[in-house]
Amino acid sequence: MLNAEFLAMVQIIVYAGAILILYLFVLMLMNLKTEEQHLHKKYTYLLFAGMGLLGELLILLMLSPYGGTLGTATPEVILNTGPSHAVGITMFSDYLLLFEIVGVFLLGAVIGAIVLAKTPAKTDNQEPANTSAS
Amino acid sequence: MIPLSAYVFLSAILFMTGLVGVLIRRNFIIVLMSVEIMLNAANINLVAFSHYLNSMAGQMSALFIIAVAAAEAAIGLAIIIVIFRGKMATNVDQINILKW
Repeated sequence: MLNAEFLAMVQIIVYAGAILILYLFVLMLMNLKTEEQHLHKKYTYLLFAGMGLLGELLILLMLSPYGGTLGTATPEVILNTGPSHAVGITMFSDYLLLFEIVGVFLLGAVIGAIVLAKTPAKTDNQEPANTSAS
Repeated sequence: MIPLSAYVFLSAILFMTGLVGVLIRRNFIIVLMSVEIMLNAANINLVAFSHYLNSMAGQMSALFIIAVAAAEAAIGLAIIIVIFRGKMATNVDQINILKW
């Protein structure tokens, strides 16, 4: 688990609990039909060229040496107190400002999403009045 | 001990899946899902390098990427709902009023 158990649990909770449910609700609201052909037949040879390019990139990636300066958070240090403790200590000491900024950012994003997806109340109220008057 | 190149390989495959999905799919929702796949590929890379370089910075970046991905999904789906309500369109090539 790469000493990242906390991150794994956060990933599962956020994706299975929040994003997947959001997608499911939007799919339910949109009532999608069957999708048409999305890849033209005459472009399939480009697919092979792309696969070759991807293979070459992967070979270059595998051959390149990995390096960098080692930090202080060795697996022994992390496992001494547990991954969640290490994540919490790091987040609320070195990354405190970033944490606050992400909090404000999430608040703004959620407010924006609610404002965007809100049903326009004025037109909904006016339309039945107009139809009944006419 | 899993080598670092295995994680990089998995991440590259996931990223290519997401990139191909963004490029060849026309449905809004599937394009957004492919973007999420690409973000998660970056997360795998960050956590793997964070482990092998003995640093917590990668895990922190992955956490913040998860937060930004959640915000992006919320905003993207709200925009999809607005577009669907206004134009009844579900494909990206039906929305081309920004085209020059």
